Amino acid sequence: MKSIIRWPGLVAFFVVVGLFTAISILFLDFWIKLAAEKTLGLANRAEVNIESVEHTFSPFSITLNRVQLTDPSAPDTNQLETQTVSAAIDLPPLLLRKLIIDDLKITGVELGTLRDSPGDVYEKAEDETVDSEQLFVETQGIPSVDEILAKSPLKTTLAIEDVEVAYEKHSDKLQTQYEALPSKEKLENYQKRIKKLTEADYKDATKLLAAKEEFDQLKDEIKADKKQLEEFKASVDAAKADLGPKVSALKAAPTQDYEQLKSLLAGDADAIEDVTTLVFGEQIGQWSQYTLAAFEIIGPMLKSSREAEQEAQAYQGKWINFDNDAGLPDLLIRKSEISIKWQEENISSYWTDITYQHDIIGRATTFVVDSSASKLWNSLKVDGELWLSDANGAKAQQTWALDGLTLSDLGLVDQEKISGELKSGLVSSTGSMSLAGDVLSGKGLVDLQQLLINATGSNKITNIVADTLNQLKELTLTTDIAGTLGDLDLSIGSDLNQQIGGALLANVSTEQQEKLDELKQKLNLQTSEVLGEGNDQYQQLLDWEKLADGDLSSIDSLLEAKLDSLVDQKKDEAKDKLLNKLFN
Amino acid sequence: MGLLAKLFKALNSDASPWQLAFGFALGMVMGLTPFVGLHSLLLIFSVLFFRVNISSFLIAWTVFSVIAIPASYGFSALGESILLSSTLESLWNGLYGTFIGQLTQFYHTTTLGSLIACVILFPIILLLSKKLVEQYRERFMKWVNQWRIVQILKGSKFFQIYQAIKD
Repeated sequence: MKSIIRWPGLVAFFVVVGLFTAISILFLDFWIKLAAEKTLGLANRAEVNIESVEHTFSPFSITLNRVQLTDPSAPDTNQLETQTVSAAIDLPPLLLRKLIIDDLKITGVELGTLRDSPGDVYEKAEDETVDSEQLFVETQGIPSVDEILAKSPLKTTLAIEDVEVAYEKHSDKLQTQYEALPSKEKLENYQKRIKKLTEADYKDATKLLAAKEEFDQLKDEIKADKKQLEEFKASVDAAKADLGPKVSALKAAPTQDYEQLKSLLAGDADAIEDVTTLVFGEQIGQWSQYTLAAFEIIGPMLKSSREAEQEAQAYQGKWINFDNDAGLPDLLIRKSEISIKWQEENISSYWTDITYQHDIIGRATTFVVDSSASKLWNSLKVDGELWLSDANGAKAQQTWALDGLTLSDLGLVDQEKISGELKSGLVSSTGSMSLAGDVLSGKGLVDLQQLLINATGSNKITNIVADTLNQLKELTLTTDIAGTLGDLDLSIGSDLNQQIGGALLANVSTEQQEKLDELKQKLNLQTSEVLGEGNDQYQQLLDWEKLADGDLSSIDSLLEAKLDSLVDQKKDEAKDKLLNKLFN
Repeated sequence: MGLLAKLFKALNSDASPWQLAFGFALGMVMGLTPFVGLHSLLLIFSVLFFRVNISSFLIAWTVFSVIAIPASYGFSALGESILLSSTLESLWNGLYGTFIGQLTQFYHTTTLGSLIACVILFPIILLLSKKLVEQYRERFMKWVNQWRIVQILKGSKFFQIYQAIKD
């Protein structure tokens, strides 16, 4: 019987295992390159290229050279390109499918570099561009004053209508009420009658009672008149409250119309609204990419890594974690230094605890950039933290302060109707932003100083805009940060729009100015007619109010007169007489 | 083709039915479980170090690898239910903390599920294949050799390879 042991088989086993190990080690760099390109590509949602990979065994570390992450929204460019990525990897956790990197160094990070060839996009991102095609449309000819006047709504026309309607609404009622008011004679008559009744000497009780009856009747009549006066006064007050602001609006309307029409003749008023965004939007957007890189690039990548992990698990079986592993997340980069290359200057950022499972480690990812004076700026400070949680979503905050960054030869806008570049300048910026769930919010201030802009336009309006830009020496831009992770929404504001608006107005032609003057005259004429009439009507209201106040005052004093005390006095006298007769 | 010829040769040789049966059974385990893992190394070691028929192992590995594709979902579900079983929790926790435990990758649902299934199937496949080999040799070998199709095959390239290996 043959032995169950096959000794040559043992040799064969070691040969097979040895060969397998040798091939794995020999092609390890290739396997790592393939795996890294695939994993990073899924996380980036677009093609990732790695030029070469190197590794060492003790300590185990890998280095990826020239990593290019295609921008999903612009496949011709890289969202991010790095010179080298070196990672010292903790080996034992790899058995538990956990990638724990003790130290990660990323050097020469550049954003928005051009690719040799467009990269594949696995998931397309939506994009919006600002275009000047719909802006800076020159007015076609100058409309005549009559045409402008015929074109409603002019504020003056509307204000005239308002005043007329308001007066018509109140005048009939007030007139009717006014005519029904007691006359002066009637009020004097009341006064005489009350005096007569209160000052008479009543020796006869019957006469006193008759006087009392007459007095009460008189009071009723006075009260009825008072009610009428009060109603009239209320109507006057209502008319005054209604008409007052409308008359004021009418007084202001011609000036407002004049300014508005002047803008209309100078150029499309809407056109200047987006100049700041058009001219500085792209540059601010690029700067934002740097300042918000942590959230714009790493945030979605961490999120995608988690989703990719979950998808892979559902398809290929699941990896179950057990309690004694609670302290280790699937991915953790304990310490990292990322060096971003910008205009030949390296900006180093220091990170701790990069992961997408912050609940497991109980700490947030933190990052700090603290760069003192360099050739390009006086100081740059950025710090923030990021916490991704399955239960509560993402939570993050970031602040930045940049002082005196030197700018030179920056393309600002390059469009058919207007183009311009920033030859030189200084920029300082401060701001903060926060992230709750997927929603970003924050504010930033960009202060541009010592500006030298070279802009050219191609029509009358854009020439004026370009001239304004060329004269610009300083500008403060405010940015509102909104949107979601991976879909940042920046809105930029400044006083540039007002400056350009002013410049446009200053460039109104003589012919246009003549028409405007004619228009102003017509508007003033229209307004003065109504204002004259309106003022009379308003004055009438004031007179009525005064009259009503005076009459009410007189009536109130009439109503204060009393006969009851006299009656009571007579009653007491009668009672005393009766008592004297009875007991004497 | 060469592999089939070798198997055919083994079936018709004096190779022990146990050798063939163990080859089939171990090939089944190799085919049904994920390739990467400590168990694969142990299987290859067993096949090479012990006198197991390599042809039957390779054939079974190929056949069961195909079967494993649809079966992997079932294995994953089985593995997950066992790994998440509260009664076995302390066992898994203990194993998870050991180096050997980590090497086995038992905490992967498909790996554990397929290994459990293979533990159950192994004796059945082993005994069944041994029986089949014996039955083949006792009852069918001569009869099969008389088949017209076998006669044709004997004149084919396949048989020529077989003969060349046999000689």
